[in-house]
Amino acid sequence: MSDDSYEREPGLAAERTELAWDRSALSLFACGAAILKGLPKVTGGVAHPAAGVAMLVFGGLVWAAGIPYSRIRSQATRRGQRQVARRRELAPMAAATAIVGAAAFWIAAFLPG
Amino acid sequence: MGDLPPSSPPTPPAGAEIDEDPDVRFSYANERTFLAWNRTALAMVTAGLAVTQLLPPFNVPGGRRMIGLPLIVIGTLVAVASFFQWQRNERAMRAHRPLPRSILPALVAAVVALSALIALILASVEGGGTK
Repeated sequence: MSDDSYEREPGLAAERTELAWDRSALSLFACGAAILKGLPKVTGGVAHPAAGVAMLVFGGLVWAAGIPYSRIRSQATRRGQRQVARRRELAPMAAATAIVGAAAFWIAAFLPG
Repeated sequence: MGDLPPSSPPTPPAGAEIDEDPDVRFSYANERTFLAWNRTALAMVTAGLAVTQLLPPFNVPGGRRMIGLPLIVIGTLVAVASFFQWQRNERAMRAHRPLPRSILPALVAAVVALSALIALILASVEGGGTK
């Protein structure tokens, strides 16, 4: 019984990881949409839509880079193969978040609120 | 070298680095931790941006930026640092070493506390406005 649960557990771990990728891409999309549609309405600013579009583009990049790979890994794990994340699959997520942060810094530091 | 019988298991020399695939569940957990740090980073960046752009201005000049900019800066740093932390953890697991200590939780807690303290001070200085 314990052996059986041990055998199945990697599959569930892969599924949880796949969901974590979904949540991460979704949070980028949600922040991008909020900045794109929400901030200009409140502040009347002109640069905010560009930041929102940038976040949506980066969200799309992360989606394209991360989610298909995590699905492939998940399926491989179910077949009993060992396939874990590589640098080139995770780096776009970190880069996208850092670029969004740099853009947010520019808006917050140099544009009127 | 030639003295060893062919059936002997390979014994790594003393001090040699072990490099072995860790349990796949641990690698997945490491990946999820990386993603969780990225979402935390994104939340801090968004919160900082919202403070500087959406809050009504304080009487103290630059008050909103004093609260929001540290959040944005630390959020950006956390995004980058989380990637290197994932790499370090993966290497440690492959080498059967204990996971390296991370400064990220303490750093994030300190900056969030600092921003909250600045907000508290600014709100106090503001005095009794409307509710």
